[in-house]
Parts: sequence; structure tokens; C-alpha cells
Amino acid sequence: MSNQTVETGSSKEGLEAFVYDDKIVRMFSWATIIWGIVAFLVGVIIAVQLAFPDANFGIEFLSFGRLRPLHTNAAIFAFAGNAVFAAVYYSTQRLCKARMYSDLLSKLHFWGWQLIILSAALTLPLGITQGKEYAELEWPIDLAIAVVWLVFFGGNFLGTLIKRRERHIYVALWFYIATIVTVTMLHVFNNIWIPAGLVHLIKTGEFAGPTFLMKSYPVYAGVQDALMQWWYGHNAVAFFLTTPFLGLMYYFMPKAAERPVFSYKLSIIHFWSLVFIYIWAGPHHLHFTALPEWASTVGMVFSVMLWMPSWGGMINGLLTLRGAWDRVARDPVLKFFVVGVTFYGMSTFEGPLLSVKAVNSLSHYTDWTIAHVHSGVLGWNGFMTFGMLYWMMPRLFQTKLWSTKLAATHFWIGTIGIVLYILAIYTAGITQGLMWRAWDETGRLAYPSFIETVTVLIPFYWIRVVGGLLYLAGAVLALFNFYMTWKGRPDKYEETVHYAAPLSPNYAGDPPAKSRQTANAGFGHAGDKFLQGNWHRTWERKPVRFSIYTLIAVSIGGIVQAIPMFMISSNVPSIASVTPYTPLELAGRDIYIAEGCYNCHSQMIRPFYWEEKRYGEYSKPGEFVYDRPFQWGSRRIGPDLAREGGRKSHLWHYEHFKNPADITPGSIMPRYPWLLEKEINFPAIQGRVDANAMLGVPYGDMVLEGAAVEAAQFQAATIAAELEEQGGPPMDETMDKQVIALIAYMQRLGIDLYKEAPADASTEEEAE
Amino acid sequence: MGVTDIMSNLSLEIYPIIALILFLVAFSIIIWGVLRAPRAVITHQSMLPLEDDTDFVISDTPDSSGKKEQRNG
Repeated sequence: MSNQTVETGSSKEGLEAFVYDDKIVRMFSWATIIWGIVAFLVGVIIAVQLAFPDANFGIEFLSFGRLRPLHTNAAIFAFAGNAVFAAVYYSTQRLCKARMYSDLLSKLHFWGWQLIILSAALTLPLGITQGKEYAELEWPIDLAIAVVWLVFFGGNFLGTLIKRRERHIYVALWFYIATIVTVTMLHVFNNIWIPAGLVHLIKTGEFAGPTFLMKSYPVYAGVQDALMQWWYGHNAVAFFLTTPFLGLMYYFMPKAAERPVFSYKLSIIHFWSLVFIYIWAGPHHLHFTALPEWASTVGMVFSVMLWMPSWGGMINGLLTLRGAWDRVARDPVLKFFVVGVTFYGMSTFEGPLLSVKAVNSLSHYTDWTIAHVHSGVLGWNGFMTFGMLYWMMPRLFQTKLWSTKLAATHFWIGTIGIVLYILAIYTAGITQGLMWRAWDETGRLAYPSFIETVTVLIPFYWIRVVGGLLYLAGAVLALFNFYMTWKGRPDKYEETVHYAAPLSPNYAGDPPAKSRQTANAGFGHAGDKFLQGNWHRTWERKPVRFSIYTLIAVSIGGIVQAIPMFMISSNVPSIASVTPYTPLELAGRDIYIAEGCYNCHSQMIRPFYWEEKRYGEYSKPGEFVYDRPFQWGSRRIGPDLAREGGRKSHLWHYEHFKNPADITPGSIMPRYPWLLEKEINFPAIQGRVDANAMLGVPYGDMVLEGAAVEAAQFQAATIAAELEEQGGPPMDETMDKQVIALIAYMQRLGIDLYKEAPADASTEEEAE
Repeated sequence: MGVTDIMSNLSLEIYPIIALILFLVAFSIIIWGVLRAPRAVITHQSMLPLEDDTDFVISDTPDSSGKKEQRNG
């Protein structure tokens, strides 16, 4: 039913009648719980694989490197994303006293988003990935996200704000505005690429396979790509997992507690300081890497500043329950909200702590970060979502919740699950970090073999499995409870007609300030009007202007970090001996990305004694100028690979890919038997080289038709022959196999620093 | 001379400091504006989620008196 104006003379004279679209909320709510179970299930599967690697059954589509991105994408975009949409569609209509702007856009949004999730679920296990954390989805899906998010969702939301019947835009809606505006900005700037496969198809008419058709390379490389990715990555957490959930908190907590938010003034300060500060904090993910020091320090300072608004928001949320604490003991909805907000406080205390460089030197690359992330997603996002669903589902189905006891059971096993998970993984992370940096009185590493720091963690990994299973079981109980509640729904949902007056274009309730000064001084009059503080209340009534101001606030941090990074050449000194990857190495690098190796291995040696002792000379910014995308990684389930080249024989790598545990007893790296059987896609190699050449990589004659393929075949034959000499299989059995390309890439890693510079090389600065 | 060369000579390291000052100024202005807001206006705004005509307020959670609650709001 759409909006309608009630005829003059009726009992509701001059009012407009409307009904809310709750069907779309029901759809997003079902999607939330179903995709949530999928995300948690995949999480449990990969948690088991870390403790018991053969749990992938030797199937490539089930390997850790491919499933982990599926888990993170499902948790963020499918579970949390659908929860956000359910919250937005429910609360926006009621806060605006208006049905959503367009039912069609609502439906396009819902089905478009589910299609994107399905595409992710299909492509990621196939190894179709951009290789950037939380931005793995390839270019066709990126385009779909842009359209669905901005046009269908953003357009529908903004349209609803514009045609609303409530003058004031409530603070929850500000957080939704910030979410829509900022996620759009982040998504667009982090996904500027060249679709290599499509360009190759158009240019040559040659179809080099469906996987290659979806392949893209980012326009950014190395350090710049890293900055852009973590600007995105950190703010995806901020503006996909924080701001919309704060909007949810500011709407649903007062509803559940049946009292207004503790301090509306504090919520306004919370909003502006959060959206301004959050966007700066991304570089704290790159401390002690090849990122320039100034950028890293800016990221740390703003992360610490973030404490204030985050805790302001948490306190505001918890104090909303003033006078209602007795109900928390009885009401599962409030239980979920209280623990959810408490986890928000814990996570936002811990995040700034981890951004402090001294702490980060210990925590980075360890499981500590994983524990931090899971306390945020399972505790904050998960419990706020479940609290919202338990409050909303009975209202949406117009009946009572089937079982409050079952909801309370869900709460307790979910809480125990989180606690088990994070305590085990905090312990694992700190153990890892301390073992990596330990050395004895002679200056030698106390644990020189990386595997020692892996096997010691296995008991904690099993505890994580138990914690994850409990959390998953809780979600299954919720699904069952919602299903039974749904079964008790009426035959036909009642659609209550609401009435509200349209907004008058001339608002007289809060007139513009007038100067109280008597002197004839223009500046004084303007200043006095300003000091009366009406301007912010004016913003709060103008959604387009408000959105623009929010965009400005969130843009400043990005601009201030990105412009110097991209424009100051001294930030990335070039190194004369660093040359582009050979065509075969480039193909091998793309296999490395497709297999998701970055999920377990870093390629960034930090300038610490213990890191150089273990891995070799620290990494330099100029070493990564041809890395599209950068592969620095964010955790070390396995060792760093930045200087892996030349350290081991081809045969070692071949046997290691075949079965890592044969070479390194106790290794939890999965087996990669398919790499020994699957053939290199040689026709696609020319397209890979051409795309990189378009981005400025000096490939010279390699861009001539067939040159790259010929060079790749020659190098593959050479490596296969060397492998045979080292005792490996006959070269004609391996020279066209993917493992050879991957070995070529592994043997190239980190060696350029020690090569002679080509005679024609020019450089701005020599390597230090 | 390209844009990169020009930018490289501009000492843009001071850039974040300027932005921080801008933030502090904007933050102070927002605080001022919030503190100046009339109590009645703020109270009305904070009550909006509770005035939105929720059709079905159904709960089988006992209220503070221990009674089951079911009401239309």
C-alpha cells in the first residue's frame, strides 16, 4: 500500500495516511539469520582446518586460503550487512513517519544484495579474488555492489528522508547517512582497477577462460596500494560494522528499554567526533612496514583519540538502561544489547591500544588481532543483531516470540562461545608474539624454527573450535525460534494505517536566529547569530546538506593521508635493481593470490632485530613498486615470505606444496595436490603482462603479441629441468603445471635488492 | 616539472597538523552548538523512537511487577 492523502472532511483532516513496508524488513531479517549461520559454519570449518589441516579433504575449493575470505565476507557483508539493512528499513520508516521511498528500489536492493552474496560464495572458493582483505570480490561484483549500494539502497534511503513527515532527523539516521556516504567513497577508491581479462578479450578477441575474464589489477601498487587498502579495510570496520550498528543502538535500545537515550546531546557529539576521527586511523594497520613514518604516526594518534567518542557512545548506550536494569535479568533482548554494547566498549578500548606502536610491535601478525576482531564481530555486531531480531521478529510476525527461554539459552551459550573463543586466541596471539621475539643471551633466537611457534598453539585452536561451535549452535537456536514464531503468525498481516501531517516548506517552529547586537557591525551580527547555535538544528532538518557535510568530514582524513602519499616521490624511493616480474612469475603471483596465501603469510619484514634475524633484511618501500595488489598480509599463521627467493631448492618447494607435513613435521599448511596437476593458463599470460604494461610497468617488448607467452614457456621449461636435476619428476611432466609458475614466483621474492641494477636503469634514490 | 615534483617540495608533512587543528575547531563549534540547544528541543528529539506508533508491542517478558505484558502502543 502506498501513501495516500486523506480527504478533507475526514476525521484526519489534512493528514496523510501511510503504512510501513514491513515485508522488506522481514526479508532482510531472514537473510540475516540464514547468512549468519553460513558465515559461522564456514568459520568453524576453517577453525578446524587450522588445528587439523586435512579437514579440507584435499579439495581445492575447501582449502583455508579460499574459504577464509568467504568466511570474512559472509560475516561482514552477508550477516552484518543484512542486519544493517533490516535495522535501517525498520527504523527509518518509523523515524521519518513515511514508507520507504520506493518499494521497487527496496526489492532491487534486497535481491541485488543476495545475488552479490551468492556471487561471492561461488567465486571465492574458485579462487577468483582481488587478493585484498575484505575487498576480495572481483570487478564485476564490485560494479554490482556500487549500483546496489548507492543507487538502490542510498537512493531509496535519501528519497525517504526527503519525503519524511518528521521534521527532525533523529541521530540514528545520521549514522546511517555516514554509513552510506562513506562506504560508497571507500568502495569506489579502493576498487579502481584494470579488468585484465576483459581488456585482453576486447584487444585480441581471444577468450582465455572465465577465471581470467574476471581478473583485474589495481591501479595502485605496493606502498600506495597498502595505504589505500587499509584506509578502506579499517574504515570498512568503522563504517560498515560500527556506525550503522550505533544507529541501530540509538534506535532499538530506547525501544527495548522503553526510555529515551541517556543523553541526546552526547549522541550528537559522539556522531561528529566519530565520523571525523575514524577515517584517519587506517595506517595503524601498517606500523613498522614500508609505509612512511609520518603516515603511521598520524594513524596511531587518531586511533588513540578515537577512545573518547567510542566510549562516549558506549556509556550513552549503557546508561539508556538507567532505571531498567532489573529488566535485564529477565529480558533476553536487553541481555543481548547490554553485552553487545559492553563488547563495543572492550573492542574500542583494545583497538586504540593495538594501534600504539609499542603494543603493535608485539600484536601485529599474531592471533591477538584475530581475537580483537572476533570480540567486535561476535560480541558487538552479533549480539546487537540478535537483540534487534529478538525484539523485532515478534512485531514483524505480529505474534509472541515462540520461546523466551530458548532466546535466553541462545544468549548464554553465545556468550560462553565468545569468551572461550577470544580467551584462547588472545592467549595464542600473545604466545606467538612473545615466542617470535624471544632471543637468548648470545643473541640467537630462542625459537629459531617457526614451526615451534605453530605447534604450541594447537590446543588453543581446538578451544576456538569449541567456542565457535557454541556460537553457531546459538544462532541455530535463534533460527528455530524465529521459524516457530513465524509459524504462529496471523493468516494475514494487519497493515496499520498511520497518519501524519506533511512537512510544511516554511518551518516556523525554530526560526532563524536574529542578532541581539545593537551596534552596526556586520561581523558582530553574524557572530552573535552563530553563537546562538541554531545552525546545527537547521542542518538536522536538511538531509542533502547533512550528507554533504558528513562527506566533507570523512573525506578530510582520507585526503590528508592519500595526497602526500601519492604525490611525494620520497615516500617511495625507487630501487634501480628492482625490475618487473617475468611473465611466468606474474602468473605464479596470481596463483599465490588465487590460493589466498596472503591469509597465512606476510611479505613484510619489519625493522626489528628478531625479524631480521629470522627472515632477513627488513623490507623497503621501493621493493614493491610492481606489486599489484600488494601482498604484505596481516597475519602469520606461517612464516613471512618476503625474502623467500633462493633460500630453498625448487624440489623443496615442489614437495612442500605436495604435502607440507612431509617436509616440516607439525606443519598446518594444507596440501596443494591440484597445483601439481592443473595446467598454467599460458594464453592468459599475455593479457596479464599487457594489463600491467598499461599501468606503467616497463615490460618493453614483452607486450608484443605472443612474446610474454614464449618467455613464460621458456622459463617454465628451465625451472622444470632444474627440478628434474634436483631429483624431481621428469620435466615434461611438470613444465606446464601451475606449481612451476608458483615456484618461479617464490624464488623471486625479495632477491631484487641484491641484484645488479640493469644497465639502462634510472633511479631517484639508491636503496639504503 | 610534474605535479609530483611540485608536491614533493611543498613540505606536506605539516598537512596532518593543519587538519588536526581544523578538527579541533570544528569539534569546539559542534560542542558549542550542542550545549546551546534548548532542553525542550533536545527532549523532543530524544523521544522520537518512542513516538513512532509501533503497532505491535508484544512481549512475554514479565514487567517489573512480575506480570506478563501485552499491549498495543
